[in-house]
Amino acid sequence: MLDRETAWRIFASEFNRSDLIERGEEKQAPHYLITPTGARCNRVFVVGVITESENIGRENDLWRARVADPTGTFTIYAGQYQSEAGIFISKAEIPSFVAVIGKARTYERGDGEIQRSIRPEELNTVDEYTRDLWILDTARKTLERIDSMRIGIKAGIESEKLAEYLQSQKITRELSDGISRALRHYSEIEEYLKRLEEEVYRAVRTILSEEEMTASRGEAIEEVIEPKEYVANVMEMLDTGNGVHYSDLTEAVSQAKITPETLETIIKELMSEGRCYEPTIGVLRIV
Amino acid sequence: MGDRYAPHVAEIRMALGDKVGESVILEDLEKLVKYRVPLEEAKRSIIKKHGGTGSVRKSLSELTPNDRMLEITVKILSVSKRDVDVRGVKRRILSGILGDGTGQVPFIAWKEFDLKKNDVVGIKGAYVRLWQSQLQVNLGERCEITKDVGEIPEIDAEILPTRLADVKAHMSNLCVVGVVLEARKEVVSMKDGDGERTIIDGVLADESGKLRFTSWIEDERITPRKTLRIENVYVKPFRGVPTINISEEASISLHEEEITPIDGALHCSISELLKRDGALDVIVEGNVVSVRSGSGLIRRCPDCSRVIQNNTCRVHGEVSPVTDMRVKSVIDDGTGSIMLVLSSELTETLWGHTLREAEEMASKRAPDSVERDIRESLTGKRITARGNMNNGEYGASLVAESVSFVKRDVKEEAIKLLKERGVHENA
Repeated sequence: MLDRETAWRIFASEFNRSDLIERGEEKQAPHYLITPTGARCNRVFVVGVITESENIGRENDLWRARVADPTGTFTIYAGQYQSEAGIFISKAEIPSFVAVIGKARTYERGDGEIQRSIRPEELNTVDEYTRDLWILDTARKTLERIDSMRIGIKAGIESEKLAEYLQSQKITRELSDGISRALRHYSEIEEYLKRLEEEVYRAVRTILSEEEMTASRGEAIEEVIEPKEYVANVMEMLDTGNGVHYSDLTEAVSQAKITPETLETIIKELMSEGRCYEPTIGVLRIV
Repeated sequence: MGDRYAPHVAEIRMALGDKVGESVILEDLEKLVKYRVPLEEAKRSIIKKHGGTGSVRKSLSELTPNDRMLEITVKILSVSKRDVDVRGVKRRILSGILGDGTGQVPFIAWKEFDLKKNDVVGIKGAYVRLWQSQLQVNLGERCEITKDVGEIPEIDAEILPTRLADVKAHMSNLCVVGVVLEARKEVVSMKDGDGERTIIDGVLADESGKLRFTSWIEDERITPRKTLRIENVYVKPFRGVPTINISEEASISLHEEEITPIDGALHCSISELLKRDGALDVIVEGNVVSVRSGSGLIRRCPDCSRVIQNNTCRVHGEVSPVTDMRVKSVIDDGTGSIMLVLSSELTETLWGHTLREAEEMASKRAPDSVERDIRESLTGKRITARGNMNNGEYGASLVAESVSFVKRDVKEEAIKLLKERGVHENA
C-alpha cells in the first residue's frame, strides 16, 4: 500500500502523443511516461468502449484489445502473466463499456517509433454512466494540467527552477516536476495545448444529448466531425485493397474543409498512434 | 587563498571579540580545512581554542535541526513541569514554547531552571533536535540563562494556535483553538489501581477539520458550542487518529473571536488526506481500482474478532468461527490512493447482497465466488466514502462509516464545466 502509484486520468489522444519516457536506473525501478501536459504516469485509469479483441500470440496467449474514448483509442495487451485480463478480453462483448486499470507501457519499434499501450491489472464491465463520469473527471484533470502548463510557459523560467516555482503556485509536486520535463521535451507545445483543449471540450460535449449539444456547440463552430476520425474513416472507405493514394485522399477530405497541411498533421498523428502506415511512398493504409 | 576565508575569519574574530589576530585565525582555519574538517566545525573549534564560547546567535526562524551552542533571546510563552524517568532516575523537567519576533518553537529543559510564563530571557548553550519531525530547543544542564535582558518589543505575546488539520500524532505543548462539537463525561478506572476518574471525551473543530479530544480535567467550559483556546495540550494517536489530550498542565480560556467550524465532514482529495497522520470524519470520492483478496466471506475468532483460517485463531487456538463479510479495496481519485475497508453492512449497501445470500452463493458455487462477484460489481465504479482515516505503518486506510455509489447529473456537470471555461453557448 505504501507509495502505490496514482492512477492518472488521461485521454487517449494525449496518451498516444506521449513520447517522453523515464526509465529508472535500477532494474526494478518503475517506468514513467510523461505526457505533453506533464502527467508523469506509471499507472492509468481508463473507462471506454472496447471495440476490438484479438489473440495475436503465437505460442502463448497475447490478447490485444482496443478501448476507445471520445478522443482516440488505447491499445491494451494482456500476455501470459495477465491471464485474468486475457480471459476478460476474450469473453468481452464488443462493443461494451469497460474500466481499465493498468500500467502505461511503451515499446520502441525498429524505426524509432514509439508504441504506447496499457498492460492491464484490472478490467471490468461498467455502465455508460461510469464512462460519462470518467470523461468529466478526465476532462477536469486534463484542463487543470493544461492551465498549469500555461502558468509554466508564462513564467519563462529556466527548467531547473521551474518545478520549484510551479509548486509555489499551488501546483502539486508531482505535476510541477512533470511539467518542467514536458516543457523541455515537447515542441510547439502552445499550439498543441490549444488543440488538446478543444478536444477536451468536444469530449465533454459527447455527454450531452443532441439538443443540448447544439446549444453548447454554438453557431461559430461548423465542424461537427472530429477531423482525425473523419480522415481515418475516409481512408478506410477509399481503400479497395491496395491502399489509398495521398492525392486522392487530399481531394476527398477537401470537401470537409480539411486543408492539405491539416491532413498532413493528422496523418502523422495517425501514424504515430499506429493506426495507419505507408506501405509504399505516397500510398497510405489503415491498420 | 586567504580571500576565500575572509568572511569566516571575520566571523571568528567577532566571536572572540578581536582578541586574536587575523593571521593566527587564518592559519588555524587553513590547517583544519586541509584536514577536511567541515567549515562549521572548524570555526567552532577555533573559537573554543582561543577561549571563546563558540556560541552562535540566531533567531528562532533561523534554527536548523543540528544547531549546537546556540544563543537566543526569547520569551517563555508557556512552561510546565513534568517528572520523567531518565535511565531509572526520576527527574523533573520543563517543557513549553519559546517565542521571539520571528517564530515559536517548543522547548524542553533537562533541569528545573527558574523559568516562568512571560519571562524574557537570554539563553546560551542551547541545542536543537528534531522530535517527532518538529524542531525542539533543548536546554541542557550546562545551559546559561540570564534574566536581565530588558524588554524586547517585537516578541509575540500570544502562542499561535495550530490548525487542527496540521496536528500530527505525538506533538506536544500545542495550542489549539476550536469549537466543542461534542462533550460527554465518562468515569474511567485508572491503570495501576489509582481509583476512578472523571474524564471528558469529545470532538473539537476549526475551519480546517475536526479532532477527538480527551480532557483529564473537569472544566465546566468544555461543553458543546463553546469556542475554546487551549494551550499546552499534547497529542496521542487513538485508533490511528491523532487525539488531543488536555491535562492539568493545559490552560483553557474562552476564545473571543468567532470561528466557523467546518460543517459536517471534510471533503478532501486523497493527496491532501495522505499528508496527515490521521483524520476524523472525512469524505473522499474516487474510483475503486482494486478489490483485494481477503474480501468477501471471512471467518473471525468469536473471542477476539481476528480474521482466522482453518478455524484456528493464533491467540485462542481452535475455535468455532463466526462468519462475516467485508471489502478491502483501494480507491484512487487521480491525486492518490487509499485503502478502503467496508464492514458487512456497508458491503451489503454497495454490493446489494446480504451475508446470508453470500453464504448461499458460496455453497452453491465456488468458495471464492463471493469475492469475484464483489470485484465485478465494484471495480472501476466511482464511490463516495465517509469515515475516519488513519495513516500507520501499513499505509493509509479509511474505515468507512457510510458509503455509496456516486449519483450526480453528468449532463448538468458537463454544462457547468463548459460554462466555467466560457465555451458553452448559454453561458
